[in-house]
Amino acid sequence: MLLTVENLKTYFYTEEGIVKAVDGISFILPPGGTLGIVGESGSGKSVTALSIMRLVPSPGRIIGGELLFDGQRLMEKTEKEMREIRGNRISMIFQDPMTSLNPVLTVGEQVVETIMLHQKLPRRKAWLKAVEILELVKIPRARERLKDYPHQFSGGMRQRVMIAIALACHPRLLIADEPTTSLDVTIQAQIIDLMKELKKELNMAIILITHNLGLVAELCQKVLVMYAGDLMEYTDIGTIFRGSKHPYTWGLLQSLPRLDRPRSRRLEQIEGQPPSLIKLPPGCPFHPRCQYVKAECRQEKPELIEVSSDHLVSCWLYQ
Amino acid sequence: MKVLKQSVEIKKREAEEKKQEVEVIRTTSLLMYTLKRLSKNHVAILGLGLIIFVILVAIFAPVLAPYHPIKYVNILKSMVPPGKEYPLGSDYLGRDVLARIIYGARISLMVGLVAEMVALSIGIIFGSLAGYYGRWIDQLLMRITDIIYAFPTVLFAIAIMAVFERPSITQLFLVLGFLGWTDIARLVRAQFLAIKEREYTEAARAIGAGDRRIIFRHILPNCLAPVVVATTVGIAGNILSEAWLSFLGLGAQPPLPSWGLMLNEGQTYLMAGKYWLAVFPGLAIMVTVLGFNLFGYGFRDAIDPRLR
Amino acid sequence: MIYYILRRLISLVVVLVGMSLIVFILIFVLPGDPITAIMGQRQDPETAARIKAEYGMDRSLIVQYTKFLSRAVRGDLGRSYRQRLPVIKIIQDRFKATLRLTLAAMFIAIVFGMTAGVIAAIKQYSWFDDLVMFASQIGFSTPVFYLGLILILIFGLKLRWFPIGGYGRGGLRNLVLPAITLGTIQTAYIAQITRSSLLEVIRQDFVRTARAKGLGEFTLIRKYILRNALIPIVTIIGSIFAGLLCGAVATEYIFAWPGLGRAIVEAIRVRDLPVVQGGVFFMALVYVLVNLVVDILYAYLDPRIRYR
Repeated sequence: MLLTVENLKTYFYTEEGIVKAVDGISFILPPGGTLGIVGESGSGKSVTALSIMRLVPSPGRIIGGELLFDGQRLMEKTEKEMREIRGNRISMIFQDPMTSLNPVLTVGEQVVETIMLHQKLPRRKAWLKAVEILELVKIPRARERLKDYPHQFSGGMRQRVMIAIALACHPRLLIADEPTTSLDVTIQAQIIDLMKELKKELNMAIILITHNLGLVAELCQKVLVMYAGDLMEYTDIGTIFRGSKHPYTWGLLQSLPRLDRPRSRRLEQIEGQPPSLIKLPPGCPFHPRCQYVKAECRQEKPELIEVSSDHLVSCWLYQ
Repeated sequence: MKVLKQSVEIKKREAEEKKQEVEVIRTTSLLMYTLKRLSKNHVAILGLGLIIFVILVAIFAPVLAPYHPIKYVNILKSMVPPGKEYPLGSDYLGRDVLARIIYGARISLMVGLVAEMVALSIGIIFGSLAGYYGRWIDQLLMRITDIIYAFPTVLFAIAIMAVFERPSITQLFLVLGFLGWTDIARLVRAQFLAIKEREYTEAARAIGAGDRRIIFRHILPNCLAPVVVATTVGIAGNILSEAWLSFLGLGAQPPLPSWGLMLNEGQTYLMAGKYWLAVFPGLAIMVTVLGFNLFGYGFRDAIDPRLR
Repeated sequence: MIYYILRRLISLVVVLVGMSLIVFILIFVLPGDPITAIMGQRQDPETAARIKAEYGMDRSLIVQYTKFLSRAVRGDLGRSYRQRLPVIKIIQDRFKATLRLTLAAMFIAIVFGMTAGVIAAIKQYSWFDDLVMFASQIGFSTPVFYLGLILILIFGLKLRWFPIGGYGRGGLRNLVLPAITLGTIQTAYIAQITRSSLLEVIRQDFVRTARAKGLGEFTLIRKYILRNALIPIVTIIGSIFAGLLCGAVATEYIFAWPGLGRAIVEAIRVRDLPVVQGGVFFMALVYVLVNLVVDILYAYLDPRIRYR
């Protein structure tokens, strides 16, 4: 097992109160596997990713749980040891490529940086590798483009550069936090295709964080549905679409626009708003918006139950 | 049926929860939002308080000043230290320092405000024309702005005021105004450019709104907030400029009770230990300018809290 | 990049010509007889006519101005009326003093300002941060000559630590008070811009990306935070430098510092026109040149400006 996350809890200690951004998430990822973490804004998906990398900004802290990567306990590593892992064995790419690249350094410099740092290559060799990587992500005229600055690239190209930087050291795990959200739809498709290819070529595991179930369907084998810091449902992609069991997941699926429904129908919504993470309602966090709410839902959090093989749900409907 | 009933129940519960929710701020524009934030900013309120204080002092000068600032001259009582007779002391002609400071508020405020009005007028016209019509008008006006912006203000003010044989306050208004409009022009232009592109301008046009209506009802109100900041800070700057120009003898002339001029007179007697001639007018300048600056920066913080 | 520099150069020329022309014109229409300035009250027509011809005062404005310009670009700025010295020599001597003062003030401002700004940014919202912010506001509101007078009062007169003015023998003791006076207010500006620039950059996404790449803190600070944060800071420092060179007048005045600004003001007083014209021309030149260097530096530091 490449990555094992067990009961991860990351809280933010702010002036207004404790924000329980991640409140007990568990999942596993085999080498070369793909996991999609799905949820609304504020569900804790990004914080989960940052927690794995141990990059949670203050006032946040990981206060509980176990992170096992390649047999090593990440929680016990020093900062120096983590830095050797970041960008090297686990890489992360972020949502907005425009602001995620340093505007005063050339693109080449930013790729070479990683290579020189982790692979200890001299500059000349590192530069050659950089050209290879840029070609791998399909950037035309890679050699000349290395000398350009980020603002000289288009949005889609910049995201490719980000991917190049992330993959430069052949990480075993790539975490992609909403990589296509700020891109054009056509570019989105290209990026996802690129990621599929790269995964195959490099035998890399991918965690894709998104609110877009469609993207998850393209790329991921397993899906984890998060809501308000809690795990709602965790199973493989086929089951999510054909046999999901959690009301929240049903809501998400229903709200997808579909070409095969009559156009006159209004889009379905899940009523209500996500809760404030400081003042979470007692019991199941989804209960205020749930159509199937029962008395237990309001009092106690449901446990995570295996409803069928490899299908975990956290809901009182199945207890 | 059961599902329907449950939805209705959910809706009822939500309505109740909403009543207990924090009041949603209804904003109509940047200005309303800013004003709301402003009322919570202590420093800005302090600044506003200082400004109002100085304005009141200026307005009620005749009532507040114990003696006439210019006409009351008493050589016998010159250079009297602060005390019972003269609260802040008397100057070399026996004039009351306190009275002169009080009346000095009028001069400073007048210069500050009038010069800024001049700057505002030029700036708004330039900025709106450039921003609204774009293309070559924009280029031309912006070149002019750049050139004025590139002038060394201090030097230029000195040079211009210098060539007038008897410099006076009126010239100050014009000179300071003519040098200070560039910031406002740029702000206004930026607002015009930004809003011109937005959809509601197209919508307004679609229902037949003419140019003038669009400018006055849509664009200018949004300019208000940053322009207020620039104006306040501009007034502060003008007051300082008047102070040092008068200090150098290139602004208000004796016997006017300009604070800067008083500092000039005070400098001579500082060596002789007569500190009150210089210390108090300087404090007056500081307090006034501080008031405008605090308010201006507080206003800016209210517009864009991220900068704090 | 080339276009950028070209535009700046054109701006430079326009400002220079504009300023000198305006000063020239104003002096030309000025009532008051320069002959009297040179010769005093007793003049005989012959000598007067000779002097007139020598200084070219009998020609028209255009001719005089063109002559001035053509001589100026060759480094000849005429002769002072009062002191029988070429203006260039006067400028050179006095500018050295101004430069010394300005450099000392900039040193103080940069060292203290950047330190305070960095600490304030690192310990955001702490008491130090609030103190720096408030102290800056007071700094912006204090007229520089007032500060100078206060410092003279306390340190020069009461405590007698430093001399109260003059160049002395060119040593450090004479430099301290004027440099502190001039530098303190600029410290406030530099502290502000350092703080806000650092805060702005630290928030940026690319810093997070750099951490996710496993970069060490030193590299992070050097290549990501500083290189980006320094851009506005350096630009402001450059502008301040340009401004101080031209605007140290008031400080030079108070401390009887033999700088160029004070020389110009004195020349105005005695109507020594060549010095005024030459001095203004020179200072304007210095000002635009420094700004040009700053602009080029800015383009060098920020690639987004370079490739547009």
